[in-house]
Amino acid sequence: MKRVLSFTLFFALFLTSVAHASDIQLEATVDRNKIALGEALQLNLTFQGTQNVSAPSIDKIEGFDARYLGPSTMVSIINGAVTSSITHVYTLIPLKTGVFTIGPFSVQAQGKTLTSKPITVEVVSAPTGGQQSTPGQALQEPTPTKIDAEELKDRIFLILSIGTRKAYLSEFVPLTVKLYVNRLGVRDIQLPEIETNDFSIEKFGQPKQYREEFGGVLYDVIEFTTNMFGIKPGDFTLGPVKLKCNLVVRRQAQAHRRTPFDDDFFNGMFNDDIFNDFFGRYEAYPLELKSTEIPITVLSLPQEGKPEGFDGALGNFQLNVEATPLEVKAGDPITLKMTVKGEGNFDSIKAPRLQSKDGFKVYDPQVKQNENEKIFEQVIIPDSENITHIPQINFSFFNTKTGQYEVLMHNSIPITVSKANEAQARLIELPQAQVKIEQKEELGRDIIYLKSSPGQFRKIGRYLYQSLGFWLFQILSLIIFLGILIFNLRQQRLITDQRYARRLQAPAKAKRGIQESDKLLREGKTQEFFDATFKTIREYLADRFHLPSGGITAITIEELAKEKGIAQEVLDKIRKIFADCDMARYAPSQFGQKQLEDVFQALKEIIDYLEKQKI
Amino acid sequence: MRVKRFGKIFILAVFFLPFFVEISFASNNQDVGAFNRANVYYEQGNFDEAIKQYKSIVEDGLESGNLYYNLGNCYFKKGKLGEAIFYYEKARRLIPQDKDLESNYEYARSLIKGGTFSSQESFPVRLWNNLFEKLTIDGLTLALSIFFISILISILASLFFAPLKKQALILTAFLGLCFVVGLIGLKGKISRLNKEAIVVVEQADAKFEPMEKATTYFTLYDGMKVEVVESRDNWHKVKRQDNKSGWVRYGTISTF
Repeated sequence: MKRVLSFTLFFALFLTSVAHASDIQLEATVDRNKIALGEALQLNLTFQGTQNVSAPSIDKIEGFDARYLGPSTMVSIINGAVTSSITHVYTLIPLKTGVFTIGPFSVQAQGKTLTSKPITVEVVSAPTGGQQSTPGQALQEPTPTKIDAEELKDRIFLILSIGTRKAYLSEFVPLTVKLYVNRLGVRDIQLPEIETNDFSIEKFGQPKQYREEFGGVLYDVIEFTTNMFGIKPGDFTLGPVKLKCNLVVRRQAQAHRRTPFDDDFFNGMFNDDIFNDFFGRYEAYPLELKSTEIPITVLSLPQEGKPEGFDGALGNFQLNVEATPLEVKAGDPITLKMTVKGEGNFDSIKAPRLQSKDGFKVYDPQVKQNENEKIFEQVIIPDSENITHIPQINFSFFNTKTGQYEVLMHNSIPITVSKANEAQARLIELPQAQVKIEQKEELGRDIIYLKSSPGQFRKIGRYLYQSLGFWLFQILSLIIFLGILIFNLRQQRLITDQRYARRLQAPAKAKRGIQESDKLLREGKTQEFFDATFKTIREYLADRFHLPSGGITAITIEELAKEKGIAQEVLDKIRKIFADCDMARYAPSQFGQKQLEDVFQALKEIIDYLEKQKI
Repeated sequence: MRVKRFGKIFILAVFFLPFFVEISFASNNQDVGAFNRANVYYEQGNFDEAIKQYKSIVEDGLESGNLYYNLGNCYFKKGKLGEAIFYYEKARRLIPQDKDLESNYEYARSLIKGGTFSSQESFPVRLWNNLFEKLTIDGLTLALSIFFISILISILASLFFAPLKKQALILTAFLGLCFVVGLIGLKGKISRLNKEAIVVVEQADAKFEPMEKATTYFTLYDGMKVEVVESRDNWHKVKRQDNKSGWVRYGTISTF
């Protein structure tokens, strides 16, 4: 809040200081120069540069009755420049016909005496201008009619002006068209048109709008500007310039003024200019304005003194040249920036010329045009390291002011060029490489080269699966597998199945027993022989039939023989061995060698028999 | 005693080993010389002589992936696309993982006049074929043999190492599955032997019937691959990759 307040204060002080610093001027204007009795004239006293002036009291003006209406203030800020003004508005009512002079007015303001210009006003007895009509006409329904420009010539008109009446061929000449309007509604203003075959006229730019006093009357001005140049020598007439617009005219305005007791309540009530502007009915009338013609002489360029290399540049110019970089390798680009500044026809300017192009590859310059300058950027590439400077650059033009040709010269620029390597030299051929869009690389295609080694030769049509060795290997693997599997299974059974284990062990044990008996038999140890034989037969039978070895007797053998179906003959042999062994314990001497061998033989036969039998 | 038994097995295995390697080392210096000579002829641009030299090795009853590759190159350079593709195909049976071969084969196929037909087979079938495409018959056979022995070992492991029984059985099941898959693949590969063919003439008309006057069903171009379904008299019944079948004359295709 504080900040806003201080800003406002600062702004107010700023305005005041501006007002004090500015020059104060007084301007007196009227809204028209011709007025009929019964009408009112508006007088404006405008103080430019201040708002701090009170309404001056106007002495009685001859022929008018003056009445003060009030002040109107204005502050405008244009491009940062602040101007302020106050206008005191008076109404002057004519008292009699004749030509009168209003003013000059002298006003004391801020210690200065300001004086306005006098204004001449004619007062006639009848109403003037486009509002002339009879009551009978006014009562008729108005029809849109083309308004005669002659009638309005003081209120709306065109003025054509050019910078010079004598110009050289292609020399730029400024052309201005001003539309003056006084208290008229104008709309749909088109750009001015000039019919000519002798001049080239550029397009009109955006028009400027301002107020201008002309002959004591304040006009709204619309200004169109452009440039033109002559395209052939000779004496010509330019114009007239034509401008089309629509005039906005109030309908039935006169009828109401003439009949104050009209039924139309509103029109009667607000029969004032300001209110009519809002509530009156308007119609647009097309209007074509014409200016006066202007004579102009177009001169051809003199042949004498025409310098070599003159490209038709007209005006007054300066030339500036910069080169970067100044130290390069051969094949590297140097950019020359050539700036032409000044006034004139920039369209006629072509690039300044290098006096010599020897030892350089020179590319077309890139052109950039600004207001009042034209920049040429030219790429030059020194071919070799022998180049020591950029040649002199010349620019010729015809100075339209002096009527003389002029040549601007820029001295040669020393540069240092070092030797290029191959890669850089190649760049010379491709200065556009930077802007070139890289294209997809096209690769060649062909078959890949031969194999240098034959690889592993093999017999045609012989495959591994057809080889006997392969299958033998597989079968062998399977056999080994099965062998291991069976072995494992047997081992497992030996651990878990005692009957099986004893049955399996029986023949081996018996074999060892037989060997032992045989040994004792040969040694003639009868007692030990019978012990060993008895032990062998008893253990064999116990293992073979899964019985406790201590429980093997002649009786159990007989039961077993019946159960297992052992042959009687074998049973008898078993019984006999058992009986012989029993007897030998008590009377071993009664057994001769022959009997011992029979016992041994019987033992072997029994075990053989029982091993062969699936019992 | 057990150690002694294993020793015997080892000796037996060593005894049978030469049966395997017998196939692999069946070459001699004369054939290697012919191969090198052929390479020199090729370099000189004498493709006919190079082909002659290479073929002399084939006539000796020997073959190799590189030999067929080089023969393919010779025919390619001679402009005989069909024969080139035929030899590349033969090489693919022996060295299916060779990148150079794959490149040349694809390039040669891209030059076939009628273009190549995309396979009409379903995705699982194509996947199945691709699974075994990079394996040779011998390679697959060897892989199966390894699977087989691995299965036996894993069964034994499950018996001898009771704590690992479960894992060993899972492994056995997995190996068994691989074995079956490989076996089917191998059977497929073997069944295609001498059943595939390449068109070796510029243009061959496949007819509805095995006779000269029969209507032409479709046209085969140099280098196209077909499957030989049946052969009779002077005609082959061939099936194109888009499953269209027709009869072509002997000599228009080379089977491999």
